[in-house]
Amino acid sequence: MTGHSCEQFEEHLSAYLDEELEENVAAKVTEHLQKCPRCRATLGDLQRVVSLVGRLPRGKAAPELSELVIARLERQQLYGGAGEVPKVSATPPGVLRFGRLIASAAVVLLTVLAAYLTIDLTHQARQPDLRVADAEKATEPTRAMHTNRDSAGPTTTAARPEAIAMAPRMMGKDTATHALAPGESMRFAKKATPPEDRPTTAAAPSSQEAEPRVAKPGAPVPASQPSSPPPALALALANAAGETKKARMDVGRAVTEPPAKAAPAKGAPAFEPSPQPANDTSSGRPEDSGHRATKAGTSTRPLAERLVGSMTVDELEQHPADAEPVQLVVTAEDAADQENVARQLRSFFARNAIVDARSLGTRAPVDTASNFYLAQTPSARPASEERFLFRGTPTQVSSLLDELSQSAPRNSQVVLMTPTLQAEGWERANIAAQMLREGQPRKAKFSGGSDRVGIAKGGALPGRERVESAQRQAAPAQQVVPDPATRSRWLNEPLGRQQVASASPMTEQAASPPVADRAAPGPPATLTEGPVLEVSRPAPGQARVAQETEPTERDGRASTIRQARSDEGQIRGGFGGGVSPDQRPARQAIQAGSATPGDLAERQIAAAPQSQTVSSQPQTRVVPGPARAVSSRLQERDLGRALSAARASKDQDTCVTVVITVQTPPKANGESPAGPQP
Amino acid sequence: MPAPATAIQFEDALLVEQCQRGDMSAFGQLVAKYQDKVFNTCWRISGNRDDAGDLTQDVFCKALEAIGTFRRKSGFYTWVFRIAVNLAISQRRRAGRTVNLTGEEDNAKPFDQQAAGLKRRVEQDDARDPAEEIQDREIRALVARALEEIEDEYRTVVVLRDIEGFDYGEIADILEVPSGTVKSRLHRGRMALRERLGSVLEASGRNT
Repeated sequence: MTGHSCEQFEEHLSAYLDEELEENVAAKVTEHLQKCPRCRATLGDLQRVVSLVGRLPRGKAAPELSELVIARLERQQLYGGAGEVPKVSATPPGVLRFGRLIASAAVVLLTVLAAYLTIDLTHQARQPDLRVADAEKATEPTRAMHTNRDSAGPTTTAARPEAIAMAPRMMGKDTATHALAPGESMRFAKKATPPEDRPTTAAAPSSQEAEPRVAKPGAPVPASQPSSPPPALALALANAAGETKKARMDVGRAVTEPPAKAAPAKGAPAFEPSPQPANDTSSGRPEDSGHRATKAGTSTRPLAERLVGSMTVDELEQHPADAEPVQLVVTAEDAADQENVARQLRSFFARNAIVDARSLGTRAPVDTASNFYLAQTPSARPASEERFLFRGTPTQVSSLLDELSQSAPRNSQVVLMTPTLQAEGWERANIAAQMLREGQPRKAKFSGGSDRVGIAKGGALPGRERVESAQRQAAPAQQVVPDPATRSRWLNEPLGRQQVASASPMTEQAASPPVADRAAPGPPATLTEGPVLEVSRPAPGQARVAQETEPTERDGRASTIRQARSDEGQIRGGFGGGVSPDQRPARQAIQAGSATPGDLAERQIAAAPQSQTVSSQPQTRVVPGPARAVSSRLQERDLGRALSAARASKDQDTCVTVVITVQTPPKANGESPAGPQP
Repeated sequence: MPAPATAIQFEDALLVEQCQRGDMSAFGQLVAKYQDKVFNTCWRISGNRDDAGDLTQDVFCKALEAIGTFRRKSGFYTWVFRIAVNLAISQRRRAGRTVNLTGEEDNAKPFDQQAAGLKRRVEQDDARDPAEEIQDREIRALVARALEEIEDEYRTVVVLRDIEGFDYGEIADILEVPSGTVKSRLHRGRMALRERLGSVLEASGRNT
């Protein structure tokens, strides 16, 4: 009986504790409690539970919540104008979940790779007589993966007549039109992972109110029309949070003020465009940029804020060429630091399946006069720099910046630039310099739209004296701003052969004779590419995979050629824009019309020493099978193996190249055999 | 709630009306008024302090999206908390049942806040036994863990009642369920916590 009574009363104990019971029920419970020690004990436990839960620490919303809401509202463009009744936003709110996005992008990339390999191999098998040039013209499937420790090394392909060398052309125009090209994968990834990543299922509620368009968990929410917010809203939100002053500044910049036009200070030296365009070194301290956000543990701040130091996310996302190439210039005062950053970059590229990435080479010492950062810090030790080129989605770029901002060593500098930034960055660099001169280094970051000029990490903020000293030392350089036509080309033209092919000799091998063959008289250099993954079909319906691994190439001549090509690429395409002292005569010659970038490179190559030693110890692995199976193995095993070999290599001159060659022997009657049908 | 619900509702209704007429400063006041409570609700329901910041943004953005259609049949805070609860539960379901081990107390505070707290403590010459303090912290971590482990519907009610202090009627409005359901869920939630916190309760029972 007691047990039955206890069960009855126990259900009321919580409400009894909260004084939410009706009087008569509460009286009965009181009476029962006087008689029942078990229920008294339960009540005591419940009291303690309530007490313990109530003592849980309470958090406070981030102080900048109002600002964050402002940013969100601006981005979502909730309103059509001040005072209007709010409209429904077009996109669900949310902050990008980078890990998920990148994982999705990787999966998509692999899927696309598999599909194209399959299609390409089949297609290739039907056109057995395509030669290299034909392959280029017809955009035949060329798949290769090239990783090179320090630069794109000149590598010749032992292309048999019946073979089609799968040249990398990773940064070439062809790449952008192929499945393997990050451009394609990025577009794909973009669809798969929209900028507003937050699921469209949201909460909610209500039947009695016209609720916000949120659904019960799990219910889809349709999209709707966008509109734009009133400036007053942001101010209102900020006023309420006591952040009036800053909000006014932000809102003024974001909504009411046109972008500030930069102009160098009168009499101040304008900094020549360099590969480190507008690295706003005034913000070398973490608290000046997105570093603060990440270090404070608020890594989920809106993407736009985390992209401080780069293009804004809107700019990236709205950019017509979502495959816009990105160049990262890593500068460090210490070689070990620089190598650390470079290693981190490579790791990032590998982890995020960014195959369209490469080093453009290392340079040391850096021309301090043309490097804004170094010009501002005259006490800096001689620095070296390494340039990387990759194509990345906005998400990837942002993620990379996040990583670097948290772990890049001190006294290193990472500048992200795109053709767009390069075209606009110089003005901002000069703005930053002007602000430094005026003793307002920290404000430089937020003035004149200089919030997208680069990301600088570590190092002491240059003091005014040091800046002035640097200004005295730095020779005035002419400010060069790309003309509209050049800029338009940068923006609209995929990074193709014109811009970087020469910086990357491997991109030319499919379309032109091997560099070494036409470089100099005498016996041609026998440069050997790295692991060769060869796909051939000894008979119709069968295919064979051969892999050669671990070749090494030590060739002073190769280094020279690489450097020449790298210089040529920089001069020719202006990509990176930096002109070292060594390059200046060449640039002047080109500007005077007395030489072309190619001529200069050829001269440089011709003067290079002949090849010395070339070693190659290929290991061949033959795997017979139909084309589909081969394509599967390519992505799942062999490419990964080649990549691993590349990563494991510590040899500066090691080139690792994966060449996929489809070889289809002619039939007895001389007709081209059809490839194996899946 | 610190003030009578009617007064709060009246004040909120005025602000909502002003907001609907285009006075955005009114919405700013509403944000400032509820942001911390919304943040805490999101934190404890989602179980992730980092997510709570985003969720709080989401809540107010959602609210602003639809404030033009808000007809004041219920209180603004009821409406906002309804959004918060549903968003937080959605977030938790998306994120899975991962237990956040770093979101408690000082671990989650920026370093400067920790330093400030330490300095303040030293200045005040707080004579509290450090061992006691550590024990308290461990208990709070256990409680937070237990709260994260119970069913969503129970945790939601417990959070709204025992952390945010809503009464049964308000919780019923927020969740759009009968008061009887709130009562039973709350009791089951507390009993589930009691079961998980057996050792803690024993210890605290001995102390008391």
